[in-house]
Amino acid sequence: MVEELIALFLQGVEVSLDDREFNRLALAAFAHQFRHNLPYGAFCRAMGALPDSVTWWTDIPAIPTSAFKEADLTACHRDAITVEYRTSGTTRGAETRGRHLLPDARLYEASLEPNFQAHLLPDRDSIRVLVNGPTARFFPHSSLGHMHSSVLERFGASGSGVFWREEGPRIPCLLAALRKAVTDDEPVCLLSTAFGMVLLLDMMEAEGIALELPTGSRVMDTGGFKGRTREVPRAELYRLYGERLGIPPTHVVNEYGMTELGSQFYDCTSLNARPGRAAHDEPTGRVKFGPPWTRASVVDPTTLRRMEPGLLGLIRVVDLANYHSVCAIQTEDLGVERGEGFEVLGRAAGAELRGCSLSAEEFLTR
Amino acid sequence: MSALQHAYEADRFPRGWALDGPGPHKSFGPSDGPVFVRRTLSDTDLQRLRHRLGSPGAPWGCRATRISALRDTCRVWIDSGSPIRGEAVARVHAVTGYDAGFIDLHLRHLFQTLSGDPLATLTGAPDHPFPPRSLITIASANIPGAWLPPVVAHLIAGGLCLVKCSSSEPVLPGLFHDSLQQHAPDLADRLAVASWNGGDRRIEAALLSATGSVAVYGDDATATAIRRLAPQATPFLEFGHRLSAAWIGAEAFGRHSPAELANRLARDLAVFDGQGCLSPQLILLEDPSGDRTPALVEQLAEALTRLDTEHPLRPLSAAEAASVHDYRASIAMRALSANPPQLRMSPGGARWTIVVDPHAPLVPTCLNRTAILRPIHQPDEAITLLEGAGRSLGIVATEGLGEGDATRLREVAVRGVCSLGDAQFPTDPFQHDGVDLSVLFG
Repeated sequence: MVEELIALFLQGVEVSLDDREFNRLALAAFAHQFRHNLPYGAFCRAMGALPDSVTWWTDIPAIPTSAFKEADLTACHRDAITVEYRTSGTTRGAETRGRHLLPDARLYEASLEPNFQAHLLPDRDSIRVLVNGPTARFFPHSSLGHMHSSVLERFGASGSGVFWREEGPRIPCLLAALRKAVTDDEPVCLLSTAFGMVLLLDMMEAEGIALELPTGSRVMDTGGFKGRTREVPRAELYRLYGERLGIPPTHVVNEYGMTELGSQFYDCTSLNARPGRAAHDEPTGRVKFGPPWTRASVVDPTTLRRMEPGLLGLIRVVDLANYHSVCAIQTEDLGVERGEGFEVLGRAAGAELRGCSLSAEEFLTR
Repeated sequence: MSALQHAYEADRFPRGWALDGPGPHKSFGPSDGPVFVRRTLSDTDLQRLRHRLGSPGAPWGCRATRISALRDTCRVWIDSGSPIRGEAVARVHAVTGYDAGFIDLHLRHLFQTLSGDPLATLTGAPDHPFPPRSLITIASANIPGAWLPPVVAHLIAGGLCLVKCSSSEPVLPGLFHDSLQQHAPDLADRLAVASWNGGDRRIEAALLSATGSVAVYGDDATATAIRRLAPQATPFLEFGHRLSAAWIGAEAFGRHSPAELANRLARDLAVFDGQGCLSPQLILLEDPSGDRTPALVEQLAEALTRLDTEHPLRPLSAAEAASVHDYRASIAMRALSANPPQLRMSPGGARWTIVVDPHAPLVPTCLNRTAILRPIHQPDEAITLLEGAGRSLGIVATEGLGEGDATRLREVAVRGVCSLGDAQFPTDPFQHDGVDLSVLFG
């Protein structure tokens, strides 16, 4: 089935996957995971959901993201595991970080590349990629690091670079690369955690720097600020992207992803809008979309039943790229369904702090 | 429009506090709940409050008069059909979501015990030659009225008191003041109620530096923050988090049916939905043969289901519900381990959860009607476990516990030992977390 999924992913995000076909694949993955992922199988039994009794993907038991801290939720044999992604620091401390264990990164990469291209590079095949965040070389257990490295390798044009090392960000070097892009009149794609962008913007403000990056430059930021030393409202952040970097909101695409997921979700803006998906260029109220091999829904926090579109609840994702672990993931993020996408509206108050941006702050505080 | 829909004024600044004039007010409250109004305390207001706290003046009346006035006030709350208790129940329910029946039960019990025997023991004490200075009490919302005993003890002793109510339960302090005002206006002048935003450094630093003593209810972070702002020499009473337990001894199974034990245990779990420091976080069952636990679990599931109909769990926040589901998942996934825990849960949502776990520690849980049962072989096993909690142990609700074991536990648990089913209803409100408030303020 892995080969079938990879072939499906490589068809790209333009090819739709109807609900019936998605259901067939999701149920097959569920049956596989129920049998081979033993902790997940036990969880499903406790929830009274067996492969014989589940007939629609919405009824597949969703495992809470916190469960990745409690058990090794993998459908692979221990000896076959070669990839280990770890969740970033949490309020429980590093010793209880969750692990996403995989036999390889083939499904991850097959899902990542067409989805990234459709949302960040719909107008070109390559670009100068500047990474202001973790990469696989320096952070081998960071899924975001793997993503950054894959994008760099697959889409990075000459002049691309990484400006984040084990010891932390290298903002002056990043600034030099941005200046070089202006000189070369070469658009860039800046990949960064949101907090990493704040570090860049703070330094630019402190030194009175404002750049007008070449037309076509874009930002993919990810992660939030909750619990950080400083929280910047998204509208303010996007205004600063415009003022300091010359990048308009149309070219700022926020990514929603997590260690426990093999696929990512992106804002739909004028940069990447397609028929049937309205572009939303304002900083707030943005709707995120995933690739056809995912389904996102919003469930009632208490009953875990699916809610009507427009009602606030917890975001749940079914992601076929998670074939080797658990496809149905229950997040602790609050949101509402909007058409085929969803809007993220924060985090369940009191839920664990997490997110890729934490790594930026960890560097600042240690 | 019902009375509950009108904005409720949380503050009370009686005569002598010099804040009775008009001032700017601000509304607050939960986004989808009732609206409350508080006074925005200006720098001038703070100066006046500081002056009042620093110069509490002579007490009103003698000790006996004050006790009599407070007893009369308490009786108003106890009376059958008491309008003020009715209003309190409706308003507290609206803002906290706690079951109205349980709030009613709790308030009746609270005021009965405040005006009963414990108060009588205070009557005999002589008037203190130097009345106590002022007291600021920082109230919490998890147990409505938990802040009342030190306030009553302080008023009896002749002191002056300012209660800072919780933004999540800004009802009861004001209503208590109203009842006092009605029955003993001069004594009511010795009590003020304010409701500033917790953590407002300008206000808290100003008032804490002027008060003679502080009592804080709430989490460790709140207590630490308040302690930092109060002068080092200021007496500081801290009523923070505690972990409580229940213990059903072997003898209890012989004397009572599983249904009766389950009903009493369910009551301890359900009143205030496990939010109080007297709610059992771990239930120890003396069951060496392992044949008593299944029947108790069965009956407990029935009791919790029934209680959820009669006294429903309050609406949970998304984070609380997520915690319950996370906990259930963590238990379910341990099914493959040696000696695995068993999981029973309410159908269709996070209404109640029962876990039987032979290795369960005494640690904070996800609360909200979660029963964690640990079968044990020997009483010593339970004693050792509970003694290990030290002064974090709140109360132990027991049935079938030998006197020797009970004595040992009384020495550890700060709220002592009570009967199963009575954990939320302590008999002496002035014995609080190991502190005898009547002695402290007497």
